Amino acid sequence: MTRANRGGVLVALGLAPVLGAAESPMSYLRTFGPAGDPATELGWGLGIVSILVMVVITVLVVAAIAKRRSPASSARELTVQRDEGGLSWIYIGVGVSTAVLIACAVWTMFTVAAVAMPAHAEDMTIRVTASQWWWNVRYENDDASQVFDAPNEIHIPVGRPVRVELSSTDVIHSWWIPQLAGKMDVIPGQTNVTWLQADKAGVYRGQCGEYCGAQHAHMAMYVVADPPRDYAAWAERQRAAASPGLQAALLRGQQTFVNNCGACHAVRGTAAGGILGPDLTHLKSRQTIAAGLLPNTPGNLSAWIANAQALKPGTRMPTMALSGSDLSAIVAYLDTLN
Amino acid sequence: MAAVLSGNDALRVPVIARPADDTSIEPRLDRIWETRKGLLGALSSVDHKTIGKRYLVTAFVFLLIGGLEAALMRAQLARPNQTLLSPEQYNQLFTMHGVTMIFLYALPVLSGFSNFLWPLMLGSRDMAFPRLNALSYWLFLFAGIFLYVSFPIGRAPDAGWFNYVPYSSLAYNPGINIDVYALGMVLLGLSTTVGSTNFVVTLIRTRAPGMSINRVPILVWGTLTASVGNLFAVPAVSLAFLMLWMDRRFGSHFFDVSGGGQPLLWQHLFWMFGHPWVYAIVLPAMGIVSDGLPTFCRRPLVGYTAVALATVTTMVLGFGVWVHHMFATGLPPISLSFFSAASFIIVIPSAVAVFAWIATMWTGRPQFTTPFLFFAGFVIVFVIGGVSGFMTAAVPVDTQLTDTYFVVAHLHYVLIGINVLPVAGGIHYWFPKFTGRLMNEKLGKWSFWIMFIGFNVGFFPMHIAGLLGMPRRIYTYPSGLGWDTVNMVITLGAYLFAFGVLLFAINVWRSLRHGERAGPNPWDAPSLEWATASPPPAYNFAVIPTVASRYPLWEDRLTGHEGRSSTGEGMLLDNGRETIGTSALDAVPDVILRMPGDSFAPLLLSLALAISFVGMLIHSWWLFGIAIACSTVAAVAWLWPEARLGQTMDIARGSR
Amino acid sequence: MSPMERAAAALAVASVLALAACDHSRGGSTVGPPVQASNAPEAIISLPLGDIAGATPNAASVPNPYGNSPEAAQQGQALFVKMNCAGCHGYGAKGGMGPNLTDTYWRYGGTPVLIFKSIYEGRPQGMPAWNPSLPPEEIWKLVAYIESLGGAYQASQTQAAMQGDRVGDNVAPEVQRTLSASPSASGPQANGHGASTDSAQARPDAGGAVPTGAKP
Repeated sequence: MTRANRGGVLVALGLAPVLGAAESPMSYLRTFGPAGDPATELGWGLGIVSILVMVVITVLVVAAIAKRRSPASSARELTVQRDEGGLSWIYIGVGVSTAVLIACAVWTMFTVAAVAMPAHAEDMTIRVTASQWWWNVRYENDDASQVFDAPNEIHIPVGRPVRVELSSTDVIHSWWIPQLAGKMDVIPGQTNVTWLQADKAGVYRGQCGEYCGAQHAHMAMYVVADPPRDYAAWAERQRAAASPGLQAALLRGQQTFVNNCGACHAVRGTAAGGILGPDLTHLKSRQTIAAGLLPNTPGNLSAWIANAQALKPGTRMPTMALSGSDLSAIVAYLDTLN
Repeated sequence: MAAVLSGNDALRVPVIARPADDTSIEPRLDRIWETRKGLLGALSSVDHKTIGKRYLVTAFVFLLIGGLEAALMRAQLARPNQTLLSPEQYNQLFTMHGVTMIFLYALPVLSGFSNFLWPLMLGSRDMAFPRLNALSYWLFLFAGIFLYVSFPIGRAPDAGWFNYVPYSSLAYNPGINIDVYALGMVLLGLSTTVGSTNFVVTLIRTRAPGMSINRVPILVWGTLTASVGNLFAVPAVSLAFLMLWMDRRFGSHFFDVSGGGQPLLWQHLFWMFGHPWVYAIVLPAMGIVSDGLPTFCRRPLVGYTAVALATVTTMVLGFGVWVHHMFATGLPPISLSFFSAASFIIVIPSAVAVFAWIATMWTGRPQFTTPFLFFAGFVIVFVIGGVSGFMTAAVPVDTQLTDTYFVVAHLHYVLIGINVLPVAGGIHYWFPKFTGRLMNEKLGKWSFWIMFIGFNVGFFPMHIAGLLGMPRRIYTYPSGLGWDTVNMVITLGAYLFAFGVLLFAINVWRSLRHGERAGPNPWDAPSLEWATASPPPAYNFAVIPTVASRYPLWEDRLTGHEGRSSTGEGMLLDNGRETIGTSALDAVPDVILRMPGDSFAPLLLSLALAISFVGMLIHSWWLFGIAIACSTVAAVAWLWPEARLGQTMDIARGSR
Repeated sequence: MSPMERAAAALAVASVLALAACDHSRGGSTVGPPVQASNAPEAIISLPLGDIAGATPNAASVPNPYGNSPEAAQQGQALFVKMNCAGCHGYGAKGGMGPNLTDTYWRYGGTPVLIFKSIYEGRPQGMPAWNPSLPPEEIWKLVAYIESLGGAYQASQTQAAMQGDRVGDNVAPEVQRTLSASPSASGPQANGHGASTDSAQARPDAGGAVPTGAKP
């Protein structure tokens, strides 16, 4: 961690009780990677300058009133005889402000360069496709057989830069993992490119940062930074299709799933090959469902399938008219998709 | 009334008179200028004072409606996962809150002040184009109604006040919601353009003799700058909305990706307008403070020239920063750096104004009246809004801050702080001039403190919510992200602020009926409007004043210049409705301007135009055609040449 | 305040009160679920195709629960593209491998209920059954989109549609071509829907000429 970052951490920790930073997974007062750290330092610097300016001006105004306030009765008198005086306030004030502004502008330009690209070229690329209201992530690879899709919960190896290519299937969204980097809008018709790097293992929450419709509030994603070996193991598992051997009881669930859900969802290794909704091949490996809306438990999954519109009104997943036994069969089947 | 006008009447030498010596002058001028009583008079009046008061009242009603929308939103956001409002309801509310406050309140309220005060401050009898003035008000009212009729039918715009495509295009928003917004904004743009033109020409042509350009009040500089800016900026947004309407209803592809269009084009066009617009809605308000604060500090404004130039510089620079609303869109870093640098530089003229106000307080003797409290509180809030803007000027920091509650905090600090607080102070200050009565000081101070404290308690924590990662435009949020407490505090503070606004409204209401009666100059203020009665007569000035300095009513106490302004003796100009036209920079009188009387044409033209827009909205082309035909008739009736309005006449023609 | 100002204030306040009283769950981009979609399928699915001697059962006259909501039609269009209906029926639903959905010829019936059944149950010669992949609400949105194209019948015309009471309607294109010489076979104007069968635009599987160019 750089010195400035450590200083920033100390200040942040000091203010943590006030700001509740400890339990704020979306707070960017402290970031964890080179894609965001220079900007965080700059932000703290500008913030401190801002607070100082606020304090100075407030003191000046309050002191002016306190010291110079006139007694009630002097309605007809003017305090000056000539229309002049006081210009030195403007010269000094504007002079100091200009110097500070130029310094901050220069610092900003250096920071723009620092966060624009990683220090060495990325060796991993993910292609993020945003839709209303979820994130599809394709893990690119030069070998086409190694490419796989894993929506909403993104895994990256710790300490390595990852290139992120952003595209949208419908409206403008914005890719934002506050504790790793600033936002980059996802605009239909063009591919914006940004990068991510997590220097500390952990789970980082993100959320769509551009109003995109009714459920903009519920379009979250998680970036999980794993140590490189864990990442490799995760990727290997994700690449695999759903395991074929299933008990007889679950086969009915699989068939019901393919009939009712296969038009929109895919489970590699079965006949379900829909591309409209998230890939469910490894549904159980994710911590949340519905783009970060609910923890991934059988109860929540059941509630979501039975009546998605009640939980996320307007979502593109329709309310499925399923009988109780069909629903529990599907949920039991989904429970096997590790 | 004078006899038949002769052909060279406009070129005659005006009579110089002293009203104190001739008591028949004022009743005669009254008869010439007064609007007839009753409904017909109200509908046909072109008196700038009436129009100004209408603007103020209508804008205030929109402020209250926008406030109600905000109150509903804050109730929904007070706690996590609430279901008081559905997502669609919330989206319509936040969109209309923005539209109402920014378009239907912020500029019109300042137009109201300027309309009422400009001719009085400038020593003139009316604005340059009185009927155009009426037109701008009626168009504003009808555009506001047009936009609001969408609410009861459940079709209010819901894509945010900046209405980004593709979400606002037909594929994602098939109802008429966005069409209402697009057409309503074009109609409102007509009002703004017409009003801006009026202000610019009034400033250039109808000042009192001797009021050179460096003697006009800063409010005039502010509104002039805003008007010139609007003339350049409003066409961009009207074009953008027309293009969007065509994309939605006529199958064009300006913004439609599948047809080769560009979503970013919308953002550029919108913000090319949007950024100058936000300066247009604060510069006149800063002018209100620059004119009001000196009165209560008992000294002229420090650095008048610097402040006037800073006003103009801010507006000019304001045309070069629009991309700072688009820092996250993936534009090349080098172009973003240019706009970032410009956004830092634009802080400098604002710093000039802030230090001028502080210097005025330090070198003067502040009087603790309610208007002064609003103006002094404004300086503090202005700076807080300014520094949060300074933080967002840095591109990499802005990519974290943008679209979070930090920006919501910033925009409310600059809009409430720089527009609402000066407006409230300005109403207290000029209330005697508008109505002849003073507002209640005690209730005024209570309303100030509750508004000020409530505003800061409500909106300062939004900076913190933003830094904790809360995005904007979300109808709810989950618990466990650290946003719960701060949102509750914001809601409570916002309601406290609303209570303060309510107290202010009560003060206005009661003072209208029971306020202490005021003389012409209850605050001993320096500018020309305080030389008239409270409220002024229909003709403003019995004789046109002559001006010799910036502070005509303080000349007896300020030394350092020879001239003496005069309000007791001057040009009479009573051959019908007349005022004097002067040169642009030095205000040398050069022609007598004939002013039109009351007319129904502005109302009828506005009504016909508004109905034509309804026809466009519902695709009823016969309604559209009939309304356009009526508009043409109204316009022709308006523009029909009248002999008595002829400015230059062939002298050889003689009398009619 | 002058009377004008009072009136303006009253109007504004009334609008605000009206907003509290009215339904805001629709509009813009979201479409609420229709009220009786859940119990429509059983009654509808049990309907036989074709006419029933005597009175038409009530279920056959059920209109689309989404009415003519533009949001439902827009979402239906999105589904039409995404579920690849366009792959057979063409991007403007003008037909290709599957029939033209914008004309007034409906082999299996053109009322909302009958279009619903065709999508729900599938039909011979290639129309897949979309139940259970698409729940009833989504199918109704597709029906809303097809209705917006102008060729469908009103729900109230069920009787007439089944019994062919309107002159010129319900003529298969391949039959239309054989009648094209006679004056009675001029393009049908089905209650102002506007879309008329073009006798030159034959269906490929009827053995006629493939349409040479797309109609605008």
